[in-house]
Amino acid sequence: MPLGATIWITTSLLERSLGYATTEELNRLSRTLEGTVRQFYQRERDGLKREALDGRVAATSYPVADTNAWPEDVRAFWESGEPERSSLSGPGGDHLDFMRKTNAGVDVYRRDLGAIRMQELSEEFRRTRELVGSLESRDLRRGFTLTLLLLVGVVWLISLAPLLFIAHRISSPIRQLTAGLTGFAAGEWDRRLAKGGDDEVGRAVDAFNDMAEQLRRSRERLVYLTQMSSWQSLARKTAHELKNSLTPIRLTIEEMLARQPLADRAFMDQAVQIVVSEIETLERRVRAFSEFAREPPANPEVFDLNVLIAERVALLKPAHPETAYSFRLDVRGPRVHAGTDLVKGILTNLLENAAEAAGPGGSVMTISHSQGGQAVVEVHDSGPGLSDEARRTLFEPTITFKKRGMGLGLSIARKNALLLGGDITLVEGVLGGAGFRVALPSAPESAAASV
Amino acid sequence: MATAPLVAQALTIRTVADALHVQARGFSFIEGPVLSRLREGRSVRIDFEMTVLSKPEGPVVKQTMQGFTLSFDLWEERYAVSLIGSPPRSISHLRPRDAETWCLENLTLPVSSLGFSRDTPFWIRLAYHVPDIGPEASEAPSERYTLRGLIDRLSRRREEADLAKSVDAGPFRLP
Repeated sequence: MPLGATIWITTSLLERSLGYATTEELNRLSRTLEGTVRQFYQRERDGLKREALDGRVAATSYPVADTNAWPEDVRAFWESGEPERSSLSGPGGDHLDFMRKTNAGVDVYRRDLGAIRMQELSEEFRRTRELVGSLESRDLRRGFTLTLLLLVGVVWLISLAPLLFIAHRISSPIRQLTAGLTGFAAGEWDRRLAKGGDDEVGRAVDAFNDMAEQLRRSRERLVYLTQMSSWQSLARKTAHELKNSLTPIRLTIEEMLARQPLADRAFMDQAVQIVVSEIETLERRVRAFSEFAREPPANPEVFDLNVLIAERVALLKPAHPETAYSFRLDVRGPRVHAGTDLVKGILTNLLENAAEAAGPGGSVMTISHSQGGQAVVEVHDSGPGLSDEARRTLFEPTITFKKRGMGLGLSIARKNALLLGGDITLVEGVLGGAGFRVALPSAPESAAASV
Repeated sequence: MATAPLVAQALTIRTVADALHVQARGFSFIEGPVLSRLREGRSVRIDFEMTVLSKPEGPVVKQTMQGFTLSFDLWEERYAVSLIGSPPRSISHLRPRDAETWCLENLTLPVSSLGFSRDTPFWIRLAYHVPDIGPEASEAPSERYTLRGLIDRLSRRREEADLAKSVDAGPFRLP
């Protein structure tokens, strides 16, 4: 396109330059014409004057007594100091007048110049000289060169603009991708790129975002498992130490009670009962710590997730008879390949928590479906939901002094889910309270068919 | 606008009734670019200015301005002059010197307006100015954005558009 425009501009300028090339010829021609016409005029003027003086041509006389009726040019001549004058008259100056002062006034002799209109010729000559003067006053070489450079420059600039735009559009996502990779390598795990188009670059951006998301999740799981490992180690040691101390304490107290005289027996019975009760509480905690520290075997097998859900809910109902349970299960029955005991433990924990959060008269909903090669189960409750603080520390192991549980349930559940190749995440609750999603590995097609 | 001083000229004054006239021997303006333009068949406007000063280069006492239009009869080879103003006056079939003289004769100042006695010396500055003496732009507004208009615009030479000259003389005294 720019090359074509350049050729067109050059050709147009060349054509115009050929037009200007006739200026010199026009100049010469107009000068020649001026001289020729002047010679013609002067010959006619001299001829008329001669004929007038010889009396060979009739005159129109304007007597002095009637100057008011004279034409303007005759009066102007009369008032001038000239004895005689020649001038043009008639339409376009096609007549020549010779005026002569006499004693009686002014005699005017007239000659027809035929079709030659001298005043029109004057005007034509003026226009021609003006054109020549205008062209001669210009530096046409410079004008043509600057015009060519200007137009070609504009054309190329206009042509370059879309090229630059396209180049920018192509390179911008690549630059963005490079910056994203660099940032990700520097530890910006949450860095994501704006979605690109459907071309290769767009697909690369999508792949980057997917990879970044997977890496973020993997890293998060790894960190969580590492933390859990530390906590498990601590729990194991604590449980061992406590158990070592609790057993002699319990035996000593019971021995002290046996040796006590009967007179003080009532007081001692009450005191021993209090101490033994507290020791039992501590032993329960020790067992919870041991459970937390335990690495249960996975024993993976294929099972129907819907069946397991129904079984867990049936077991839970007697403990929370005033809670309503509802289901939204995938009728195809998502097949899971995982340790059944671990999954039972996870579901029991989530359902127990949901029933407790919903309370008497509340409701719990269980949902199952398959998504992205995983079997998913969601547990929602109609309870008050979770505070921001609870959301942040939800899966961290804590020690609570509530009547039931140690604050380790969700930590254990998530650890087990991760060990199975899945995860537990918090989702938007559909019943107004909390919602948890458990993703578990789906069974391969062949294994699922054989169940 | 360039103003070039006229040299080697002698200004004289005369009064006719209450009018102060100035005569300038050798003060010629039908020459150079003005003459070229007239001989191309074009008319030329000339603005004259006569200034009475109380001192050389001194304060202005009185000033008058008058414009004229000159034209040239290509075939008769005579000049015509028109006085711009009210009432307009014109004269034709003049030789160059006669045309110049007619212009100066029609440039007057009322003596009474000067307030000078016969012994009061004064100076006179005579100047003329020819506007737009350069070649006329042939570019029509409609051609401004055409290829021809662009070539015309970019090929113009930078020329002195106006022509101006002046002469100072004195001291004079009223006759």
